Order: sequence, then C-alpha cells, then structure tokens
Amino acid sequence: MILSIAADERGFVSILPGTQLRAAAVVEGHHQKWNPQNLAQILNPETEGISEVRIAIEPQAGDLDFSDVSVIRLSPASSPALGPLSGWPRALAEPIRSRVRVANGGTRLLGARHAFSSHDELIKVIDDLFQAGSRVFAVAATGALSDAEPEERLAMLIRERVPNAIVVLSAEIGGVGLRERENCAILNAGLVRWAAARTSELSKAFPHAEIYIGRGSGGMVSADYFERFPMVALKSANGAILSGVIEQHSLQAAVVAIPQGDREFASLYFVNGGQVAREELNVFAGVCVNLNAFRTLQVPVDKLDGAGAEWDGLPLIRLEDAQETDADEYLRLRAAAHGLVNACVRTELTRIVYGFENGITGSLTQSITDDLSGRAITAGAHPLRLGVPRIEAAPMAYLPEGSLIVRAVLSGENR
Amino acid sequence: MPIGVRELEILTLSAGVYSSGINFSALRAMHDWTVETLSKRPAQMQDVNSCTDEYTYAVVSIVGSSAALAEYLPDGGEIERASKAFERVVGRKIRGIVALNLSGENALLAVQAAAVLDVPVVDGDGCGRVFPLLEQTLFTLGGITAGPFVLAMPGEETITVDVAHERTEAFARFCVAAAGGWGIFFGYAMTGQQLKATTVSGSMSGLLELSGDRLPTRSRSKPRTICRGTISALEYPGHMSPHALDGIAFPSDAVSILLREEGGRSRLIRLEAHNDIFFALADGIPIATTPDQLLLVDENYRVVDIDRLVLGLRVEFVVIDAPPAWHTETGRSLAGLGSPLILQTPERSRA
Repeated sequence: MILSIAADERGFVSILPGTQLRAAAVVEGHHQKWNPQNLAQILNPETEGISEVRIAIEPQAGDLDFSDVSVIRLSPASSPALGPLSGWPRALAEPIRSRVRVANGGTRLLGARHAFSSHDELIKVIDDLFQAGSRVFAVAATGALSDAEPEERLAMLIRERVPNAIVVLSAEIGGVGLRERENCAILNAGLVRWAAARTSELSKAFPHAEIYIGRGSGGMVSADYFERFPMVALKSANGAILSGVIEQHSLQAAVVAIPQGDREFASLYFVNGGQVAREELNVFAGVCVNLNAFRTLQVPVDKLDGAGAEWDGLPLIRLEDAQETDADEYLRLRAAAHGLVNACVRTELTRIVYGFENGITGSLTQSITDDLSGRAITAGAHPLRLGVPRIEAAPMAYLPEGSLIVRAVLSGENR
Repeated sequence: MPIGVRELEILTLSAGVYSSGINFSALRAMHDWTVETLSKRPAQMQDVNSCTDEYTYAVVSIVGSSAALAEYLPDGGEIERASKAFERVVGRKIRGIVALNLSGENALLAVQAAAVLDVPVVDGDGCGRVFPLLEQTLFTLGGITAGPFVLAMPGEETITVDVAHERTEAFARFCVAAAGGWGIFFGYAMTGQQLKATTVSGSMSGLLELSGDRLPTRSRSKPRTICRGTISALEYPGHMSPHALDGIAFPSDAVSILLREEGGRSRLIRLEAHNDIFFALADGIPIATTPDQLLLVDENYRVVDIDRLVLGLRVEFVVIDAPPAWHTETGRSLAGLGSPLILQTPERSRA
C-alpha cells in the first residue's frame, strides 16, 4: 500500500491511503499537528503494511540553518551591488556574510574560460573557510550551465580538504542567471540539516517504507535525493495540488484557483497542454531563486464568484468552498495527495549549448538523456522504467547562431 | 523631473512594454546595479525640446544577450569607461544621455548612465519599439551615424570602433561575442538639434506613468489584439533563415510559431520570429508585419520571451503600431522588409 501525505503551510498533515474513497474518510478524521510519530500511532504502519510513503514537505524560512554554511563564487569581480547575498534580507544574510568568498574563474556563456582559477588560491579559500567552521559549501560559477567543470573541480578540492564536506553545486539545481542560481545553492545548503532531520523522522515512523518527497515542479524524488537537494521541495504543496487537480479532472487547458490564507484573494494557475505554466523567478525567504516558479495571477475571490464556471474562456476549477475554511483545506489536501499518489520520479535540467546551427544533434540528445537518466536514477527512479525525455531547445536571442537553451525533463517510475 | 529609486521601481516593471521579451534575472541585475547608483544621486529627466542645440548627446544601449548579462555580471565600471572613451573619440563632452530603445534593461541603463555622469537623461528614445540591430533606429533614418562608438564589457574590456554605419552591428556583435556575450554601447554622438529631429519624444515619461508591467492602453501605443490562441507547433529552420538586413544576418536563429486561434474563425496563425516576431500570417494571408511591434502576451498581459515558448501555451497575439517614421519607404526598408508581399497587410490597412 502506498501512503501519501500532504502537509500544508501551517504544519498540518492529512493522510491518504491509495484510493480516493478512503482518502476522504481519513482526511476528515485525522488532522494532526506535524509529527511523524503521531502518524505512526494513527496508522500503525506495520499492521497496515505500508511499503511506501509519499509526502509534500515545504521548507520554510525558519528551517534555514547557515551555522556551518559557506559560499564560494567563481567569477570575475562584479559590481558590489551584485555580489553573493546581494538582495538578501539583512537578517538572513548576516550569519553567513563572513564566510562568503569570490575567486576568479567560471566560464563565459559561450564556453571560453574567464581564467583558470588558481589552484593555490582555491586551496587557501577552502582551508580558510574550513578553519572558520564551514562544513557545507555552496558553489556557484559564472556560465556553469554551459560548462560545469569549474564547479565540479572546486567540489573535488573541497572534498579533498574538508572531511565529510557537503557540497552543493549551482549547476545541479538552478537555472540561467548566476545570482538566482547561486541563491538556490546557498539556500539549499542551509536546508540540508533540516531535510536530514525530516527524513530521519519519517524513517523512524515508517521503518519498512520507502520515503518519497514531492517536487515543487510536480513529481517526486527519493528521500536521499531530497537530503542532498531539499530546495526541489520548494512550493511542493502547490506542485502536488496542481498535479492532483490536473489528474483528477484530466485537464489540458484550464484555470485552477487556490485560495490564499486570508480567503479574500485567490491565486490563479494556468494549465496549458496538461502542464502548469511556469515562470522564471521565484522567492523563498525573501530571496530570489530560479526554481519551481509557476505563473500566477492574484484575484479577489468575489471576482471569481462572478466568473461562474469559466475564466477567460477556460474551465475554472476552484479549490475552495464559499463557506468553510476547513473544506478548502480538505479540497487542497485531497488534491495534493491525489497528485502524489499518481506521481513519478521527475528530474529536470537546463543547459546552454553553442555551435548547433542545425539544431540539436543526436549526440547532444544522447548526452542530455544520459545526464537526465543519471539524475532520475539518483532521485529514485527504476533504471528500467524511465520514460522518454522531453527535450526542448530554443535559440537564445542576441547570441550567435546555433546558441541554444535546452530544457529537459525526464520522469520514471520509482523503484 | 528627478528619477530616483521610487521611479526606478516603476520603470523596471513597465520597461517590458517595449520589449520583445524579458530575462528577469538580467533585469533584476540591472535594477540592483542601478539602485546602487541612484541611491547616491538621482538622475534628472529632460524634455527633448529643452535639449540645447549645440550640446552633444550620447545614445546608450545594452548590446548582446540578456542571458549573458545575467551570467557574466557587470563589473560596475562599464559606464565610466565607455563614456570616457566616447568623449575621447568624439572630442566633446557628453551633456545628456538618450536610450537607443526602452526595452527592458535599456531603460534602466539610460537612467543609470545619466546618474553616473551627472547629466540629464532625455525623455525619449531612438526606436519607439525595439529592433534587433544597432543601426535600426530613427537616428539612422535622420542621417546620423552610430560611429565612432564604444563598447564596454565586464572584465574591464573596452573597445572603440569606427566603421561604416551599416557595419555597426556586425562589428559590435563580433566584439561582444568575444567578450562574453554582452556589453554597453555608447554611440550616435549628436547635437540637441539632431536629437529633436529624430527622437520619439515622451516615451520614458510614458513608461513612468504606467502602473505596472502590462502593455499600455494609452492611445499613442495602444496594442491591437489580433487573436488569442494556443501554440500548436514550434519550428526551428536553423541556418536556412533568410532574415537579414543588407547581407548582415540577424543574431540568434529563426523560429516559426504556429498558433491555433480560439473562437469562431479558428485560423491557423503562423508567426515568424528572429529575436522578435517580424511577420504574421493567418491561414496563409499576411496580417501583421514589422515595423509594427508584434508580441505574444500571457494571461497577465505580459510579453512572453521567444525562448520561453512551449507547446500548449495559451497566448494573445498583439500588435503595437510603430512610430510613423518607420512606415515610410526608408523606414520599412531599414526595418528589414525584404518582401513586397508583406509591405501592406490587410489588418494594418483596416486599422
């Protein structure tokens, strides 16, 4: 039996064994404060025979722990207004500010190295940060999406110099835009302890179950992967809810309305071609990141009331009840659990390539597929049950002919 | 009128209006960099008609890729280096700044350059929309040459270029690609008198009057909705694209976008794009073309980047009329209209 759990932003959980029918009864009966041990008591997992738990857990600003996190940016010097932690809330940046370093390096967008980073300089930076108590390192290099080697080389050096170091590379998690990708890596580094604690609790509560965590962009990842990349769970409740709604209603084109906390406004999400429309930038803890952003439109709820069953010519799906907040929560949680029950392991990557004047070649497609497959298997997919990757390559405006941005997604059944 | 941090916030939101797409990471970088400058000294905006006839004004623009700017961040000294080199090569002091166009980062750059140099920023621009090439401006139509011009790139690289006007883009692109994908352009040295004769007046203050990043509803540049539809195909013809101006191929690659129109007519809309959309057909009949600005907008009525288009995306296809100078014979020619077939479109004729 697969157990799906959806946790909302207030820390409540609801529980949904595999079928929707049972879900209703369980959801209504068991709103419990977030505590996996309570869940274990409620369900008695050993007797229920739960073999798999799928849960959407969203990190919150209060979960960040930067006590042993440091940041190394590989890039030429930039304006002080654009350095690491620029644009961060002052209180959030303060604990980490003394452990931020910039070393010359990185790659121009179209592949040429700015400068080979000095080995001695990097060793000095690493040793210095180690002495300052750093154990978790966020690494971001200019141009890492076209050439990840500078980040990978630095990670290797860090692991040589710092025993049991945790290294987060920006190329593995963020998109185009050095500052936002770097922010993803730093915030991810600040969440690894939180993620480890959550998966440990879940493992104790469900000792015989495989644990999977919802992704903010839909789908799910293994607990191990989540421990390395907790930022993939950013906004995962909405990711699960929207996946569930699309699945429940077999949506191709629609508008989904989810009420906000005050219930005076709702967020509209736009489903196109069975996918939720995405945006470039997202915000977590007051910090801008390029991860898991859905396109939304905020509207007053009374405007929805007047819209009827359609919004702008598209079917309008409302995840709210006109009268009862509890009912809203129930609808959301049921949709989230439904989304998780039907989720596959999902991985994504973004790459910048150049010199492909005739479009992407077979060898590039193979390289991207290999990279995605590796990530998917690491994220818990069964090596023999991977789907077909969806690879989209678009010309990058105002760059030489053959410069492409490649966005790829691969889903697979879990092990 | 002073432009400080508060006005910059408005400009940052509204600068997407004249853009063919926005890279928000690059816009954010330009915004934060400009805030640092404006928090020390606001810029002063000057009406075009109050520009002094004999003064020298410089036109500024970002050259190259916004995505490159978002990756390879400004070192902070580009404007000073470019302005010093520009003053040296033209032999006159810059007394005001004009934006080449007001698309995205370019609007912010003009304000910042004015604040850095402590000169006014002119309330206007040289396009009234955005075109891909540096020589596709109303200044060119007015007989003003771009060169000699200066490119300042991050990493403290500065180049002064003096070439035939029609070779501006070809040289600039080559230099910028070698430097990392983007740079700051200072060029089109002109007098106040020339400025008055060529600039689209009032476009910057127009942006400051907008309430957000949605397309304007003001009469001067009110967008015309052509249709709403869903993207049903994206085609990349690659190097076979014929889109070029005087033999200079446009940067990047061509894209063909197919839209299935919603509503009664259900026409198949074909949009041809190359950095921006330049031509539209409905069931094989031309309906819109450059020099008017052809845009796809999302549910929030914000412009959608060409490189972020995906199958199934629901969009609205809108057209903003270009300033009248672009609809003259020379204007159309400069805008890159190679085919007589698309010189006049039915929708344009009706408008």
